[in-house]
Amino acid sequence: MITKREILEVINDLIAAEKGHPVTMDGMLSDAELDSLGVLMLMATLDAEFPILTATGEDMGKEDMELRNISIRDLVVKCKLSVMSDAKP
Amino acid sequence: MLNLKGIFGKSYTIVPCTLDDIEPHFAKIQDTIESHTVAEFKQKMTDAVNDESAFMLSDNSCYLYYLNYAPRCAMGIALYGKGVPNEMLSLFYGIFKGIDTHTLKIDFHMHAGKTVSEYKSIVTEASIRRQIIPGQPLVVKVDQLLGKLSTIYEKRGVVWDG
Repeated sequence: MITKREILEVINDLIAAEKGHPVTMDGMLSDAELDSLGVLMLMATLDAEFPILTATGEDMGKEDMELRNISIRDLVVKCKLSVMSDAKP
Repeated sequence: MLNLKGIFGKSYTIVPCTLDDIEPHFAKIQDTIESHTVAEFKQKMTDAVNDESAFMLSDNSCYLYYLNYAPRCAMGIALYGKGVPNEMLSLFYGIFKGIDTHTLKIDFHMHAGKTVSEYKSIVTEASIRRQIIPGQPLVVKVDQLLGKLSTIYEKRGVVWDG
């Protein structure tokens, strides 16, 4: 089972790919200082591994804007829960 | 015209801009254009339309005008897609994967009031560093951007149907 620390590493790898700043568990996604395209690519890639998004393609642009204000801890927990719920029979 | 799916599966249609689009498109960005360069700017937009290197989504949410100054290099003229990153990425992906497959590099000179932080995910690291030198463009390496987007499409299982 992937740990929260490992999920944080995944997030920071994706943030680095979008030329953002590393974040800590106590920070906010906005601390990464990604542009809107970067946030979208981060979330699209993260969601492929951890199905965390509920929006359809049509709504994603709006959801992306709201995700900028999410705390890293909440994002990590969302990722963790998505994997745990996938494991249920 | 080209139809494609965005990275979240929504369908988009890319169409060429026409001469009739120039005024409404210019109106969306006119606040960033210095008054004494308006005529020159509109002429470049016209040149891009005539060169068939100006495209928009059919819902008019975003557009890109550019002009090739060498076979594989282009100068970005006008780019708009405020608040619609999904559409903006789809526009770039569709143009350079399905319509103009020869342009590999686009240089963008930022207008007053714009900052590099608004575009850093799609431009090169080197061009961001060079922003301390006045007049240096932001550079989009098309093959790098397409590679990044193709990876996301693949991971999400969205099939390119352009």
